[in-house]
Amino acid sequence: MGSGVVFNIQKFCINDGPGIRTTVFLKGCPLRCEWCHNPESHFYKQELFYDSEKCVSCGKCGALCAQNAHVFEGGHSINRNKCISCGICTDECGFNAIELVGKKMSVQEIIDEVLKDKVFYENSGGGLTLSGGEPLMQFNFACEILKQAKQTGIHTCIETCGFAKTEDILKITEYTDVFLYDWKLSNDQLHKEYTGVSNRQILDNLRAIDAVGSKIILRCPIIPNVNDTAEHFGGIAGVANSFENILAIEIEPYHSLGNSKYKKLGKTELDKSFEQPTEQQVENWIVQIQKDTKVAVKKA
Amino acid sequence: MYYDIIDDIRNKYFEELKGYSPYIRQAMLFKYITENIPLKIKDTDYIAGWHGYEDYDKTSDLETRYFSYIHMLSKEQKHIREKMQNELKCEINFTPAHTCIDYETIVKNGLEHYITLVDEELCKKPDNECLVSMKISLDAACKFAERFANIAYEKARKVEKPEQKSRFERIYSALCRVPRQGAKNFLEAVQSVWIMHALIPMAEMIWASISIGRIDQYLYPFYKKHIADGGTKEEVKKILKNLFMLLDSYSDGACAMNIGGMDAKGQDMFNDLSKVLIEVEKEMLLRAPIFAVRVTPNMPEDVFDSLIDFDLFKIGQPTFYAEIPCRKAVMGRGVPESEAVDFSANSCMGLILAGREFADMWGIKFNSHLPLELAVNHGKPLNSSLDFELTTRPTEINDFEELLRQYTVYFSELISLCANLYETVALEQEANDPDPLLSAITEGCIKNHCDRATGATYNTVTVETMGLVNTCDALVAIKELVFENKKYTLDEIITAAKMNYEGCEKLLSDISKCKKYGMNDSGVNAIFKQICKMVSRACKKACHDNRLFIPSLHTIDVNVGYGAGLYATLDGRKEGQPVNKNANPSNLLQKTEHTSHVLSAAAFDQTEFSGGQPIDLYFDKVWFKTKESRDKIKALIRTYFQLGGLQLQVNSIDVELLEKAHSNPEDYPFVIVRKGGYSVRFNEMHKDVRAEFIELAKRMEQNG
Repeated sequence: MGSGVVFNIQKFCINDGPGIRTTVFLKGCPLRCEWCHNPESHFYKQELFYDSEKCVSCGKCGALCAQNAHVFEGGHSINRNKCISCGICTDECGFNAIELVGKKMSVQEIIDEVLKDKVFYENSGGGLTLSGGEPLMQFNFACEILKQAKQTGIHTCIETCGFAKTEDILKITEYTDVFLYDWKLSNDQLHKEYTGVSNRQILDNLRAIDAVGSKIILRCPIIPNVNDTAEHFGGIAGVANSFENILAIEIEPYHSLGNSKYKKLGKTELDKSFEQPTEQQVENWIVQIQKDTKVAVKKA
Repeated sequence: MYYDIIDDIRNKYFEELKGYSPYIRQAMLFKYITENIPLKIKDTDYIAGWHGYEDYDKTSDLETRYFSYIHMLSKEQKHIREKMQNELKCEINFTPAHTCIDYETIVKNGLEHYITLVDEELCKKPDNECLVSMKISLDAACKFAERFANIAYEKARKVEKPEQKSRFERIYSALCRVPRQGAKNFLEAVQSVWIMHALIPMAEMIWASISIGRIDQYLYPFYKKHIADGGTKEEVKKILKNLFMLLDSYSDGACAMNIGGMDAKGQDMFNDLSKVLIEVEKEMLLRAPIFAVRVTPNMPEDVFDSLIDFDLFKIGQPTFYAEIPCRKAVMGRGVPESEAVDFSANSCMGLILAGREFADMWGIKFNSHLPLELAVNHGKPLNSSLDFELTTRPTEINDFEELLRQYTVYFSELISLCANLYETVALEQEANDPDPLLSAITEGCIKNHCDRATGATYNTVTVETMGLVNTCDALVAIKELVFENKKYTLDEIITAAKMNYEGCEKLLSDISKCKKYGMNDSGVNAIFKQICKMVSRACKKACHDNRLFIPSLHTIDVNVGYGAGLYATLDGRKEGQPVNKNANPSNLLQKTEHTSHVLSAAAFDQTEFSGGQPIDLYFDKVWFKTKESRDKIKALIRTYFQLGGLQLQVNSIDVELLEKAHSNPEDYPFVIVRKGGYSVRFNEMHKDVRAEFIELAKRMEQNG
């Protein structure tokens, strides 16, 4: 069985499918959505989180680092070009200021961890959700996890942006009970601008999994002043109306909880400021989308 | 004011009372309190019950005067007790109240039932002072109700509105019967319950955690009759709301009101009155009583649904109890199943046989870390000396198995020492401060002619295992860092703890990365299970006759004050930091998820910790927005109980509101939170406890 890189396993999740669920976050994503709250998910490789507030610049990490990646000039910083994410400095830091994000895990290790909560899935209709990043970036790994989960009788969901090879996404339909499928921007030009890729492949894949009868929940991140437009709301309803197997549309309002993570990764260029919507705004969005479709619209 | 009045009456009659023996003196003191405490019936009342009110003219400025005290602890015992308390952080005390009387017998048969039993014994032993004191107290209890009857009569005479007149006439009529006789209708039954509930604190001299028992069961026949006779549910609710207001005004919050349950044949016992009580609570949203909802396999789904309610959760209501595991826990004490089916959830946590048991819920507060110190430090505590002899001999600790074995042996010997001390402390209590009223209505005491401190059919002493989870985490850290990874020696960790970990950041960081209770790690769960079994065995060894020592992980918020006085422990906890609360993970566990928390707690045999073992779960308000997510909360609770969990406490907190209330408590007098075992007004908590509470809420919010 294969292995892959996971950056979090979150239990008792509320928003990732039916019942009580465990969500496994795989590292790596082909998109760079400007509002992304999981910047540590972008790259497949392991990375360092560095918390300057905890660091006392004791220099122990620098003394140990063979790559000379720790720089102590006017405070402590990390030269990310030199760092090879070996993790030696994280073991030695007594102040928990450096943390290695991403852990290599085998499929079996993940299944063992997920199975710990099996009794809750049985009592609530829950199960496993694969998320990311984009879980299909580690296709073989993701596919094997879903397959093993199904074989042990666990309900499965995958949260995907849909940007993958069609043959890959079709292959996992066999092991996936529900797709939590992103629809971020209906306007392809804006999709490219804000996520870095076209939405055409995403739409094609949605059509492909719908055609084979996969159950789908359409998940729509809504970011004020980016995609809270009548055009996009109409687009969401239009997509939902075009397919047979869309169970629901779930609105994911923008939140800024991931902003501090950019700093920890030494990234500032993506730390853009977006507005956090009010509850009333979200309700209005739901009403606007709902008026053009019979598919139920709700907040995720 | 309430306690001032009691002090005042004690001072007023001090000279007269000090000539009597303790039994008669306490009975007379109780009688004088019931005769002199001011009473009031408000114009809007449906039952009578306000007493010890602000319109009382204090006649004495003297400080409380104490009667001469009979000392029973030997000089050596006294020394050990002081040493244990001051340096080793093990406290042995008799703690009054925390009990639940047999309201069913009182509403059915009245105090006459007990008066007859006392009279029968008095015929055999006419001079027995214990029995005479019971008789005086029972009579005083009846006369206390008659004082209220007179007020009701006068009010009925004076008011003009027919509705008011009729209401006061009904109260008068009720108080002419109860609690001396059995009740004839719903109003009389509730009136009887409240009069007795108010009298117990007067007799025990404290309103600490006195519970109301299975009210939806013992009042149900009266409710059915009321409805059958053409009465309405609304009339019942008005009477119950009056009772709830009284409970909220007087009780300390830890007044458990049982809802539902299961009979001996396995039938669910939720009834229409249970539903009415839930409606009343939801309409009033009070701090007390605390609802103790007994979850059975066949509990009606609509009832369960109605309890997964944000407004209830945010004031820490209700507490959920698992019926079948709780019953098993009571049977684990040696109680026959035929009796165990009648258990009641008691106080903020814990199980009691109402009217048959006296529960000393804080009898032994045990420092669970102390035996570990003795085990790793050649028989010496980390921060003091041991100037009394233990039979356990220190050994060389070369592996984890040996460490666990030594921990077990020291634990067992120290528990035995505490239990022996407690026996004498209880005898001292009986010799100095007996409670003739509570003794008269607690099974076993009339027959044995002795006080509830020793004579109840079941005398239960709770052994609070303070910091047991921290100690488990310390054991796991030693196992990983010393015996497995060999990264540190035992002496290095001991030295660091003695230095309060000053300059030991690397060690602290390494300890923080060790596995901990609450992560649902199978290895940690196995160690905690083993420790709990050992604790249970040590307590069982100390049990004899009607005296039961039962272990508990029940701290409420005492974990904060206790931790404030406790030196650094081997789990990386620094001096002064709180120890773990209830059966929850330690604060040093950075991340915990509800399912892992639940599975960790369900991994040890909770029936062996029948003194209390609640877990506290926080649910953000978003969980209550849809039926789908409320169902997930239900599934979580059901699963916990299916796995053997006994008790689950809930919270849903607005952290922002708490921070405002912490900064300006006077501006937020009505913010109610779950303290640990029951709900309290936030601004009445100590500021350190408030700060700790907010800290915990923030962590739970992040994780939840």
